Amino acid sequence: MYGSSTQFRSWTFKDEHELKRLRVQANADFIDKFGADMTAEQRMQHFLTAEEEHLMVRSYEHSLRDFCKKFRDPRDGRIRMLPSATTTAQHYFKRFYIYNSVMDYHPKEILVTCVYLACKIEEFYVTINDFVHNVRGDKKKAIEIILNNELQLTQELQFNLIIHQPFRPVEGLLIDIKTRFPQLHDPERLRPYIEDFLERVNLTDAILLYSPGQIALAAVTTAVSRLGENLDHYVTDILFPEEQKHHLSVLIEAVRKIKKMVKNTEPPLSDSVKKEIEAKLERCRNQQNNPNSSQYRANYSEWDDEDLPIASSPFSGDVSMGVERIRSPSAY
Amino acid sequence: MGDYYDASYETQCPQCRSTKYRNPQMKLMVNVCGHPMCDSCVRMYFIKESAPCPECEIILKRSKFRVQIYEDPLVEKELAIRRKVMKVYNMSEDDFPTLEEWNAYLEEIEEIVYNITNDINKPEMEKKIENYEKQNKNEIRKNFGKKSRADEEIERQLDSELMKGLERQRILREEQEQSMISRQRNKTSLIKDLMAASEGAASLVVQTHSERLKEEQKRENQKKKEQELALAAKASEFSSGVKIGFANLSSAPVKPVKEELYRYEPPVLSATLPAPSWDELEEGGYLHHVRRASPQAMAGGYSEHYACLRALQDFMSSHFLS
Repeated sequence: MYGSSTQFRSWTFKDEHELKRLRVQANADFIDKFGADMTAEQRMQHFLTAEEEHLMVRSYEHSLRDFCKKFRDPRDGRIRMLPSATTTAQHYFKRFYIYNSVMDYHPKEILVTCVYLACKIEEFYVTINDFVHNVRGDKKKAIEIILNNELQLTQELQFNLIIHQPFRPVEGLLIDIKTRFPQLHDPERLRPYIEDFLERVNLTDAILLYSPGQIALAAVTTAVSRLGENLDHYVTDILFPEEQKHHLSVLIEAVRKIKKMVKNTEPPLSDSVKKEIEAKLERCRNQQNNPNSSQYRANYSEWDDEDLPIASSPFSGDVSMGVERIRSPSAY
Repeated sequence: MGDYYDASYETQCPQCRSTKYRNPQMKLMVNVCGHPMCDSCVRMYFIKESAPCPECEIILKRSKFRVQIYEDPLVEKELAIRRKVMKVYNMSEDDFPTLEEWNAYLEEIEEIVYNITNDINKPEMEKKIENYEKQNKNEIRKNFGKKSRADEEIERQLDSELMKGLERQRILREEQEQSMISRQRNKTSLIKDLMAASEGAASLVVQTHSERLKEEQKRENQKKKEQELALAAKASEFSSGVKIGFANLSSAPVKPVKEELYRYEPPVLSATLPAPSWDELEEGGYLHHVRRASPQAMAGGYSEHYACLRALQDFMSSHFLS
């Protein structure tokens, strides 16, 4: 039940300002920690701003969606990633970067870790070896990165792993519409629009601010209006019992906000801007969490488990990352 | 008993592959290297006093073979090594000023034993023991034969048990002697009385005698019982120090632990949109819009109500009206 869930208690935020405040805080914390001996000006130049970080996260949310869309099980090419796994991964990814800085953990590493964890939680069975087939670059290293980050990720999520998704509420809403509002002809027509909406809502902050039921209602009403019809009569007169009418405005406001957010989904960053930010990030990121840095190697070789293959020396000029780049749709 | 299966049947001698099942008399033996071998193999390999171990080729002595007690031969090996190390490292807790030093000392012993058992730095460890032996020659000699406190305690208890046993035997013997004497006395007194009595009174004399005998026996029995009771009271402890019987338990009543019982508090949820009840699903026609449950699923206790109600509740319950 959503009302008693950790999602409602810890991961549904009041409004966008609160989200922004937390993100700025994460950014400032990182800068304070690593830029202690720098002047304000140097800091500005060296570190990413909260704004830039947010852009990065946004653009990687698009990458996450594309990664999941293109995901194939190497044993059976017909198997696609479940939409629920994708949604869960998006939730994890967003949650992680509310309290963490991009400079601390590189999004391309957290991205795959989120998807891998989401596959487990949503019971979409895939082994780590099959999983990294979908990742570019050194597979062994990708495995190492994912498995190393996995526990860190769950911890940052405060081990709150159950995600309440809008899919079942949508089904409930459709059942209710079919039963109590037969005026709407063949609600099954709405499906493609609803799916599209639910995919796009994952790229917004709406899923951190509103309940799955509200998102479901927004999805269905959007789909209905795309067909040139409307559900107003159903929502105001049938859904809400007479004595609860005064709460209607809250719901309508929420639905309106969600719709607006989805409508204003930012397009992915242009490649040049993204490259620029990434180059800056490469300079200022926390080297302890960079699998290519000598510091990272030094840390891990101390308690080397034999199963952390340290293939080449950090100075061999081989800079291929485990997770080089998330395969873009055009790669196929 | 026919289908009784003993796990030890599977014990197998690594040399001759004979198992306990085939040869119930078989005993596995181990030597210092920890490689087990059955007793007949030992007899065969060790016709001479010493021979190399067939597995690791360390020269072994026949006299050092012991019956394997533990299933894991490594444990046996460790015990042998420990015995050897403890001969040198034989200090007791009283020899150390602080607990930390004593613990460090114990730690050192464990490390040496572990390393030798697992063949880590073996020569180094052996050298370490040798050095220690040289440095602490006098103390080792002094402590040799000295018993630790735990050993003393056990010995004391064994002694006291032995004493008790002897005491019991002594009492028993005395009793027997006493009863023999009294029987003899009764006999002679009866004969005397009969000799003195006139002919007709003989039966009367026998009767009084037998009555007296009975009474005496009764008294004796009672005495015996009392003694037994006294003995039982004395032995209130097992040799391990655990109290015998329940007498001591009742003397110290168990304190009832007062604990707050867990009380379930239903979570307080904000009001939500009303979802239909189970019965309304059918009446309201909601069920027409979900997939019918298959007969197989129905057999398992499922009905389409569950899916339908869950979807509806999931939608309704995430709209908070507060």
